[in-house]
Amino acid sequence: MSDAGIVIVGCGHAGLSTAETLRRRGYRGRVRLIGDEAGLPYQRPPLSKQFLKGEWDQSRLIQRNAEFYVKHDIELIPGQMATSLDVGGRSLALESGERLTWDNLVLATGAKLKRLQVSGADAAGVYYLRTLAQAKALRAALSGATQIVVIGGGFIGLEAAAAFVDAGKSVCILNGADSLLPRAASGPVARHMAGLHLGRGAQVENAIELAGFDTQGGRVSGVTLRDGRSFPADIVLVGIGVEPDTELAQTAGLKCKDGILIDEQCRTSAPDILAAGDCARFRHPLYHRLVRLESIQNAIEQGKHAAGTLLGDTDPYRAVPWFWSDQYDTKLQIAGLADGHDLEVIRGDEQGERFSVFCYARRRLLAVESINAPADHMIARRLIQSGISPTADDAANPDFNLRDLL
Amino acid sequence: MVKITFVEADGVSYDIKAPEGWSLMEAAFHNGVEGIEAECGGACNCATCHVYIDERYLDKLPPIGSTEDEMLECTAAERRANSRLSCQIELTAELDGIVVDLPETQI
Ligand SMILES: Cc1cc2nc3c(=O)[nH]c(=O)nc-3n(C[C@H](O)[C@H](O)[C@H](O)COP(=O)(O)OP(=O)(O)OC[C@H]3O[C@@H](n4cnc5c(N)ncnc54)[C@H](O)[C@@H]3O)c2cc1C
Ligand code: FES
Repeated sequence: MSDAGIVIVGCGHAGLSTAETLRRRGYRGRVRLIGDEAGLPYQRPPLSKQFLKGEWDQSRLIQRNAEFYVKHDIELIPGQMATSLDVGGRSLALESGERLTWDNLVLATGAKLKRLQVSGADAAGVYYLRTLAQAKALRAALSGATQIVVIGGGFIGLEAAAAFVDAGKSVCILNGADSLLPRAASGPVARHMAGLHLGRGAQVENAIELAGFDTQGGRVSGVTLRDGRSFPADIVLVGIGVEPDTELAQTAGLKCKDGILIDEQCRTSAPDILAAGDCARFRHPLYHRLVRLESIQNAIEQGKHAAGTLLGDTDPYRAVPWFWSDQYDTKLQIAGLADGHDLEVIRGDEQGERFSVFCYARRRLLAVESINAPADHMIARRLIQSGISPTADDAANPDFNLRDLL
Repeated sequence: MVKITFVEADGVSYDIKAPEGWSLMEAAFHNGVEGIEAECGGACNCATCHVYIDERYLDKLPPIGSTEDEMLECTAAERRANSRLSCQIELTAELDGIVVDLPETQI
């Protein structure tokens, strides 16, 4: 080993978690953390929640203060894009022209926005939301807007819509799928969330097909659908999802397939190079299939796991995926992955304000989606981690204490 | 600014100043206090910001909300009478000088 140490690309939740874990666990070599965004690493989830609502200022988004990086000798290199990777030569080129050598490299490049390709999509007043810079631009534009169209019924679109409604805007959600949260939520949860938005006065249109944006003098003025309907807007927020940022990995010849492919120790097809977070695809031992997760839980825990591998750990990454979304006063929490479930069992009152949906496939508990039921969520994480599946009757019976199964 | 002392389970302590309006968790997290994980960033979704509060300050805190109460039932270290989730405690002038003990584990 040389004294080049570990270079991490991406200052998001995964990259920072890797760097911190290396230091916490006593790694003495050099640690460099490179990211193309400016400033100190920050948290993304509040961008569509507290920050968008104006409840938090920018200083509260910052993860660790500047002294932290000095104290732990983490060399933070923000505002620098890594432009190419030489696997055999163990080096990484930055846009500044500088070339860094490494003993191990960790790719934590995250995900990048999918963009709409329709007429008028480049007009002023059309916003996306992934980075702090984008959130600031959107927040600044809000005061002048009364009518807002949100394109996309996923988490980001819905959280932003809730923030807009709370700010007194008139909001219309145009969703391409047949129901809200199609990739992430069961029927009952999707219906509950739709009811929530409708109840607060947002308009929700599912199964829409976009024709294009109407513009006036280069500014967006509305959105027109293929069926001819049109919706006026001062601002449009597009939230149609992300794709893994695999550019660096792919051009360097690392194996990728809608994500950088990694093994259970977070190693890519080049064993000295690891990957973690939104950019990585891996076989999940609890689900026996390749998954790519877009969540804080995975970014943090996989980042830690990658650090562990670099320190000599050999255990596989098998953390239960979990996720949350806060909209209005409602807390949606998801434990596990529901894809492919064949049975939904409701615990609590589906028509009420508090219930959980237990999703099974062939009697095995895959996931639990909870509305305002945090205890169900926390127990579900442990049940899934331990491979324990309550019977459908027990899951549905509120008097049955699920903790007794642990 | 509010002055806070965090004491890790192994006795290491940190004296920190943080602005009013921030949460106790944020004060710890920004300054790199190790015994706080705060995976969810303060959304009351992870219970990895569990702390034991200085008895003298307990009655100066906002009451435990129902979500916090349920999450406290699922902490990695034992729940005690003075257990709180630090992300649910907003810093006020009244809390100046508070001492906060951290549990041995959060995960
Ligand atoms: C508005 C919003 C709200 C969210 N809310 C939640 C939530 O409530 N709960 C939840 O679990 N998840 C939420 N998420 C998802 C969560 O933020 C992501 O899963 C998480 O940020 C992934 O972390 P990461 O480190 O893998 O990637 P990222 O956070 O995307 O970080 C990757 C970083 O690498 C940089 N980068 C990429 N390529 C290069 C390069 N070549 N050179 C230099 N730098 C590079 C990128 O610019 C980026 O800064 C939300 C996301 C957004 C956008
Ligand atoms: S930070 Fe997650 S519950 Fe407090």
